[in-house]
Amino acid sequence: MNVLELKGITKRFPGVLANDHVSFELAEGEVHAILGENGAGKSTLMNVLYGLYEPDEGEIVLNGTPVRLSGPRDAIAHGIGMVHQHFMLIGAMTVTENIILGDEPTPVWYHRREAEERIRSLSEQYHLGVDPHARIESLPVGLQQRVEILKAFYRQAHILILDEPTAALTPQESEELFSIIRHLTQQGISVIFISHKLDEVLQIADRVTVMRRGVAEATLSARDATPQQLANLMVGRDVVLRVEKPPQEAGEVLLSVRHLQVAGRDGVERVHDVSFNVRAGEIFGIAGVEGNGQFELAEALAGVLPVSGGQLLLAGKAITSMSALERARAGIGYIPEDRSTEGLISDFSITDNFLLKEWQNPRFFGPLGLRRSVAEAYALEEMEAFDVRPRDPRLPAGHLSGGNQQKVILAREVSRSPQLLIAAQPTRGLDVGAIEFVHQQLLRLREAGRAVLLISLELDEILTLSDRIGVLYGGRLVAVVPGETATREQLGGYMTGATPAQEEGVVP
Amino acid sequence: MEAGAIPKEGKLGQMRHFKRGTIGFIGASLAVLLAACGGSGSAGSTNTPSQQSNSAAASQAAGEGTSGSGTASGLKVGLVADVGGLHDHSFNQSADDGLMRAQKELGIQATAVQSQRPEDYVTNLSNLAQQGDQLVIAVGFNMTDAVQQVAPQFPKTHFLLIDSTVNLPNVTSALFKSEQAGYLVGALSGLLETKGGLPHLNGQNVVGVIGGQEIPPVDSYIAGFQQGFKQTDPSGKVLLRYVGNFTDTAAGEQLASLEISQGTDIVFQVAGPVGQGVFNAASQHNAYAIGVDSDESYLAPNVVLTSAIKRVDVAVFDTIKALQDNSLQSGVSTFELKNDGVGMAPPMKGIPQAIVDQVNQLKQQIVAGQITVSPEVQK
Amino acid sequence: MSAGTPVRRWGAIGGVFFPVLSVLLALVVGSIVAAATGYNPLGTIGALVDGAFGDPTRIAATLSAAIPLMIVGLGVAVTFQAGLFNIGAEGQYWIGALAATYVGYAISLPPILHILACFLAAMIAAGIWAGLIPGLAKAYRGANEVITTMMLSYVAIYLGQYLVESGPMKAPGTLPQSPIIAPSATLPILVQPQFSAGIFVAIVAAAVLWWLFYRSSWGYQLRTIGRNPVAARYAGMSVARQYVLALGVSGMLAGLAGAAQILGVQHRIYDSFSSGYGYTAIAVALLGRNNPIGVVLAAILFGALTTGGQMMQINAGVDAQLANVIEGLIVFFVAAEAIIRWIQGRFHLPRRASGRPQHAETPAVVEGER
Repeated sequence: MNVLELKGITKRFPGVLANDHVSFELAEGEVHAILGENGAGKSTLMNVLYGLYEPDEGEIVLNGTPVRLSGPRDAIAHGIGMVHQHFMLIGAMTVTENIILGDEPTPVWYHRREAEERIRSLSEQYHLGVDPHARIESLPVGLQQRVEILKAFYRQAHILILDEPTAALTPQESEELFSIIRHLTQQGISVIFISHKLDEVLQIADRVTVMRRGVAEATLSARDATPQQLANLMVGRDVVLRVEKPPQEAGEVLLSVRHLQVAGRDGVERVHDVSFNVRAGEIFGIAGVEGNGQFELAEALAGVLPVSGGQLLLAGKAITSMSALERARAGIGYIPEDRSTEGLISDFSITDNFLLKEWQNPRFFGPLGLRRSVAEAYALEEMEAFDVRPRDPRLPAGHLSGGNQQKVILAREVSRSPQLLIAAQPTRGLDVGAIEFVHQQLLRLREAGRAVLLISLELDEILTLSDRIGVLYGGRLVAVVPGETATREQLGGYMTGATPAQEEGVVP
Repeated sequence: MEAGAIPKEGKLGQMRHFKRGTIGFIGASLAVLLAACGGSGSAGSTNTPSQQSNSAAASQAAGEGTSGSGTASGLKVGLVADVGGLHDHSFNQSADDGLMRAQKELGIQATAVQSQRPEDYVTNLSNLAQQGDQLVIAVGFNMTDAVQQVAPQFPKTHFLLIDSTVNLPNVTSALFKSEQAGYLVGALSGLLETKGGLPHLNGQNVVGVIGGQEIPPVDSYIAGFQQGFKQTDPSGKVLLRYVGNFTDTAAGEQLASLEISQGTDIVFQVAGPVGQGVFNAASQHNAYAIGVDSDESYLAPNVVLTSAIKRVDVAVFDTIKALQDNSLQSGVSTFELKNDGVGMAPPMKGIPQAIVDQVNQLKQQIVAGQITVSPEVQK
Repeated sequence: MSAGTPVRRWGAIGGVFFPVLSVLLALVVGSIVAAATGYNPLGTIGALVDGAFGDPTRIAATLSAAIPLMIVGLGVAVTFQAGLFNIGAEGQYWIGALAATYVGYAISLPPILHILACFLAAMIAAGIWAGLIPGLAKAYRGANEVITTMMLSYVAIYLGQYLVESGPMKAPGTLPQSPIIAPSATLPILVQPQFSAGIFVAIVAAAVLWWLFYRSSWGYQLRTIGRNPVAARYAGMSVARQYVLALGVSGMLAGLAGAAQILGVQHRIYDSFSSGYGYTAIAVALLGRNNPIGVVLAAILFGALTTGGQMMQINAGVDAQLANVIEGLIVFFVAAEAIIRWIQGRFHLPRRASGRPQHAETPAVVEGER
């Protein structure tokens, strides 16, 4: 029996058709995933369902009855609960206070003990393991998310919308979330699971609806669907999920790292005696669990963090004491870990973002100041080469989608034709199409005989792209293995310190 | 500017004082509330009766309509208050009182303008002269330069400058022998220190002065106070401190508290609006204070013994009257005890009559020229 | 993201739209206050506008009042662009005025040279006051510039009061004021009584600053650092040096304003010389969105409020405090702009579909990411 049906939902915004006659149904106890790239209209659809937007056309049917939802309160009253990607919790308050907030029986007071009791029993019933007394800010992200889920059940939700629920979670926490979702469905709760990640959708969902450009392309049974099929539906063309990496002989050593020691901003040493080489035409992957010194290593190589010991050579020349700008000039490109807070200035135009490392370049800053037309022409050229959309160099970078932002950064760094590109988490948060693009660009650099240092938390990415893989654990390079023969299990062992490093595996 | 754009009726007049308080935004917000609740009637009743409830706009209306009460002479007089504001409990307010009295009794048309910045002095004086006022009053020595600059450009307009001198044919400078007023309150303090008679006197024979700034109009009071005090209490001690400005009430309170902690039981404030801080300190520490410029007893009835007053209102009124009688002269007009230009406000109840009598005797001696008071501070 | 076009449209208009909206809202609420207190609201606003722009002399007075606000406002904008907050412009204004006054009366030089010397002295003194001390403290010791500039502002004001009340700059005689500057150091008056050639100083300063901000490499660095110091470091910019420079230039402009005011209008310095321009300028910079053109317009608006407020008293008997109320309301609505934007974004724009985070809407809420 369907608890929910959306029939022909259409929602327009000025200049955008966000939902185009979307139909969707949800059975009792089912996990129905909505899969789509950023901007495909998933969130709009959910906001319609949650009463935040009024649809221009179409109807919402709950348990067989058409309803009109004029706000979240209506939706909640109809048993719909939503866990947003960004939690709506107040850090300084307790779990109970956060859950009660907005649902107090009277404006002034509430029965705290009663509420706590209910929250405790709900938490037990759904295997959530949340302590009603805990302060939100003391909880890890995974638990905060469960508080949000509890909030929905406290309001007697039987339809739960989870908007990109794994975006903020560690793999471990994601697994726990999935087992919670399974418990929920056993108890008759229906879940709408919004995501752009193929594998997790296939793992948890019963059915998958793929959305693209505001249209529901198809609804498939998760059992029958293949990742390739879903990816093609999402992107609207044939996607290369697994990039082809032609075999290639590596050239001379371009980057040589010798006994490197780096202290983090807090002064604590995070990288201990790390040595490795990256050669021309090679992608050197650095694997590791977050917080094991990868990003300190990246910043030290880029010249942002000072080196406290050791030596760095670029094509045989010492760069240890060079500033960030000097290293950029010497041929190091850098894609920082967090594009929106580190790589881009979001309220600068795209053109201005292209100038980030050019502020001393007389080509752009002449005696009369900025040569605007030169700069814009350059930006436009690069935007075309990297297919940045919309192709408007005066648009603030913050208005681009994540994938297009990353393309701007890539374009900026690659256009300087670097000897070495340091790419830290280059595909974090991107959707399938954009990931494919970034990967192709990295491979193209490899083909062109440049060196790439890829730092990623995604093991699959490392395994797919790298010619050699170094594993950082506790700030030490515990192993270097050839990419061809490396396996997940092997790397996972090194990453968690479970397997001792083999002496012969470490390449100086 | 078309005055017609603004309602000219009495309501405006009633409201004027009410809104002109220096509390700005908060005041206006409160006004909204009050007006919403009680209508304009409550607003009218908050006015102190002695102050103007008439307004510039109303008087303009009276002038234009040639109606108005009393003997409408059609004389137009403008007044520019300095940045202290028209309701500074001090000389600006006193000047405004004189203007309002003239409006009532002499039937002149009055406009009072409050300056928000020192740069406004020149603009405001010029604007008033330009709109045809025969007499423009500049309140405060801060406007000396401005009068010097504006007066030559309007030779047909007469200017009255309070507390400072400018030598121009169309300028009258009003100077006050405030040292004489200071002398009287100083003498009163000395007598109280030696003879007692009030509950909170501590017998330590120390009095204090809080000055605004080291400028002549302040120092003359202080000089007189020192001399009067020495006259009646030769062995007593006078503490003297300056706040450095006329706006920092909190600093005034601190300095007064400091002096009180050093034995002072009577504090003479010569710091204009900062005086409120002095009164607060005196009230908290069970001491007494003496007001300045106008009778300030209403600000702290159980604290203020008396006030050394400078009758700016008298100077303003007399000057307007002289202009009306065609007897106004340029140059310096001196206001002193003899012509009631300065004086001492009625003393607080409870001060022994014998002491008051003795002060009055000293006053007669000054008027008679038997005592001369110097305006120079002893430091 | 496909919603780029409408967002863009707002981005382009938003820069002008929100300040104008703030001003209009302030005028509307100001009219309500006027009406509630017994005035004809349209007449009151009319009196204000007429008082500020009704005839050439009034326009001159408005511009005259705007000059110091423009120049100090530009200075404050420099620090805002760099992500700093110079709250001590008032003190730097004093320092500039003191230096200009001193050079103006104590040294004799030929006319134009004398004026230039005064400006130079003011800019150097105030630049050092803001740049050397708070700038270096910020850049190399991390001292919060809000605190240091504010504290030094007090020091400057009390120093100035000491100098003219009983210190070496006190003029002979009894009044606590400096001597008058020499005629050779006086800026020509364009319109009597006090609209001086200082307006050219302000306009040149605005033009130079506009070029610096949007065309020069220095301005590019400044704006980058102000928006994203991390990215600036990646780009090899010296954040510390730019902090010192930004505060220094900011102080120089505040000092220049003090000098222009002395040379053009006041001709000497005295204790109540301060009119809080340093503080009003913060509102001017915010309303002008730290864009030099915006700052000039915002300064004219605030100048108009003062002049209009004064004329309103004389000609219509309307209280000057009402102008203050409107001024306060403008500041309030400028500050509330974030709220207005939020409301606007919440109800009229498509939220960015399922993608990147929108930060800083509700700081109290725990962000799910990271």
